[in-house]
Amino acid sequence: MSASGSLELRGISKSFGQARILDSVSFSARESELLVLCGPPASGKSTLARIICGFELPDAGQIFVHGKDITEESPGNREIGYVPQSFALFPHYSVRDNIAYPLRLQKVPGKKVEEQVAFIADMLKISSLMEKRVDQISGGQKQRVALARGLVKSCSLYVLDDPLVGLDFKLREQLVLDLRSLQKELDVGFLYLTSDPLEPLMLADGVAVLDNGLMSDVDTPVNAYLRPRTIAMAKALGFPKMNVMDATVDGARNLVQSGLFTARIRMPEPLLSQTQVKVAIRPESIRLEALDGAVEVEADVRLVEDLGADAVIHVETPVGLVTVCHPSSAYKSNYGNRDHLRLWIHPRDIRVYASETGEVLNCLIGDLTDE
Amino acid sequence: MSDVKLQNLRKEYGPVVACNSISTTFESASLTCLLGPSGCGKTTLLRIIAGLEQPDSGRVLFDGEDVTRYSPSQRNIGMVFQYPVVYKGLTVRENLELPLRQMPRRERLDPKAARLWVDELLSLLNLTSKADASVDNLDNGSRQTVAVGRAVVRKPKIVIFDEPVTNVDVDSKIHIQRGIKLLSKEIGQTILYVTHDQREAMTLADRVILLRDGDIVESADPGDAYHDPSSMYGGYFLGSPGMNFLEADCRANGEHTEVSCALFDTPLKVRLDSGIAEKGLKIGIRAEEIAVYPSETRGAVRAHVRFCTLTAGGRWFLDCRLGDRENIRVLTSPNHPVPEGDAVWLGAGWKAVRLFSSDGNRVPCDASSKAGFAPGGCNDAIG
Repeated sequence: MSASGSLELRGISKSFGQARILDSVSFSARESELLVLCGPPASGKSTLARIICGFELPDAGQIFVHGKDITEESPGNREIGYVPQSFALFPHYSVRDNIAYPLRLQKVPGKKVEEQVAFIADMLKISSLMEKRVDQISGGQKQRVALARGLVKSCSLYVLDDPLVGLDFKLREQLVLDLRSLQKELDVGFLYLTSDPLEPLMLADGVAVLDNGLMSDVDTPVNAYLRPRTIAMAKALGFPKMNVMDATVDGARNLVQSGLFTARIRMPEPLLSQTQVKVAIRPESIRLEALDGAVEVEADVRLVEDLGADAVIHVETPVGLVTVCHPSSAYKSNYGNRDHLRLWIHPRDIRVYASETGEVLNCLIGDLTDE
Repeated sequence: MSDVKLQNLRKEYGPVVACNSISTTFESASLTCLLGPSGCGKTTLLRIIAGLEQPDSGRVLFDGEDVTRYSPSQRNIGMVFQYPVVYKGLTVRENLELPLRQMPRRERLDPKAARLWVDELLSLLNLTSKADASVDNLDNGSRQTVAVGRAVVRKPKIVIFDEPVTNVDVDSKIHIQRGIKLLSKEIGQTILYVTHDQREAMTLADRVILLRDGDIVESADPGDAYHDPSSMYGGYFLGSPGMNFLEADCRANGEHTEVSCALFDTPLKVRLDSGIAEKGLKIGIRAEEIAVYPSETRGAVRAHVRFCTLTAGGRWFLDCRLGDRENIRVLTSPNHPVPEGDAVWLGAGWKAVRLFSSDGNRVPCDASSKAGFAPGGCNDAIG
């Protein structure tokens, strides 16, 4: 990787006592790129954010910003904006003073402070709140103020650590879109960390997943959703979550067998050498109607979640709960708790992953329509 | 089991009206969800019903009996909070039996009936296999399930749930929600469920009550609240994304009114009730009711794609610009091919159209013409 990228990590490792949180994490993000790092809670995302911002030192590895090694720099000298998970606003200060705080700390001249505060407040649509005290505004407004304070310092790179977690559903929906246009408008790099399964799809230019301290390659969100290369990526992206279950491979007969189904699939070389694997199927790929070449399975409905546009049908199967998702108009049920369903799974929708490494086995990269 | 009636409940905290003359009835054996964003007044209402807060005015009636001045313990209610409340050191079964044993002697079930009822409850809540485990050894989700059982085992007049699945894992959440639904359907327990999560409300409720700034803005079964909201706020709040609202231009034409908007290439003929202002009307249409075509199609209008992303259920979410200034959000059907280019053609069935007045309330209308509209082709639009 060239050193001219806006951010580059080489072999960052960190342990706390016996626990290895980050295991040689390397990646680079281009100028003005919105890179989303996703992963389950406690996967090491916040530790990584704190290391990049300088609040924590790595045990090993280097960090470069614009090709310059900043691994040993103090947080103040890094010129990286940081938006932490929690508000941490001063409740008795005005919105204006809260946003201006990081600039005043840096002794930025008063006029410049005013300009930058006004600019970012306008971007985040909170200009009308400037004179209010933080304890007089709503939760959603507070989050906008916290974002504004994190973004007010003019930097070429910002680290946002799950900034929308815990917010009301409707607020998140709007703020995700606002953050995206803000990043494009500012034309700066964002490293955005989240455990939400939809935010990466909505936001990212590039997406990677952090799992057990290991980081995946960066992929485009569309590719990562339609053709996840690792089981960690498959689980991290998409709502409802992709179904994952154990299976065995019978190479001689081209069969993959799970507690739910037996399916004949194409067996490329890497798959033939395996016996125990994991298989993954998207909820929208489990069909409610018969389909040529599909295997039929039966299941009992446990709960039907109504999303409005879609119905998420949770069914009990021999491998536990499996999730099926379809337009609400395609699935009607009185109250959905006692129904028995017939479902169809097409072999082309089954992705097979190595149990050990989590790498995909049955699909070549970029090969969507393989049978 | 009982019905619960609220009559003109009002509660103010200084300048804030948390509850603005609220009247409604929670039917016996039904599951009602109180839904709304933080600060809408749902917690205040819950506390008034539970007796943890006194209203400034108005009454709470359980089966016609005025309980407004009763303490929580006099009201015969059950409550489940965000964090599980269980008797530590006891087994799951003992946790359910203890409240029964503490009932006044004359109300107590005989031992055999009590055992049968506890067995039934364990089964409804998917706890049978854990009946003899100590609650100390259970995960948080199972403990919360036990807390649900404890709250309902005495068959109180109403059980109040305050965001009970906020802190449990995904699988437990499904089992708890299923259990709560079964309690209402099969035991006939009257339930009030408070949440800010519209999905949860739509999933569980027989009736959704949407609150905004201390007022009820929607009160309907989930399907009607979603498809047929009585306010723009309801259309916006339910569903992700919320309903689209497009500016409508109305012209009287004989006994009909012709409604035009940027999504339709021909005006829609409707009958409007007299006395409705024809200025500032909006047309409400759901994102998934709009059909997306990759090329020019009769009856569909051209739109500029500003932003396109995959979203829930593998659908594509398109944020489009219609004409010079209107935005419209569209969901394609699942497994739709990757949209390419920055132009698409959008069409909608006339049945999907709702009219709203400039103050955000629904305008009853009777659409009588479907000429000129594109059929719901490549998505699940209402045809």
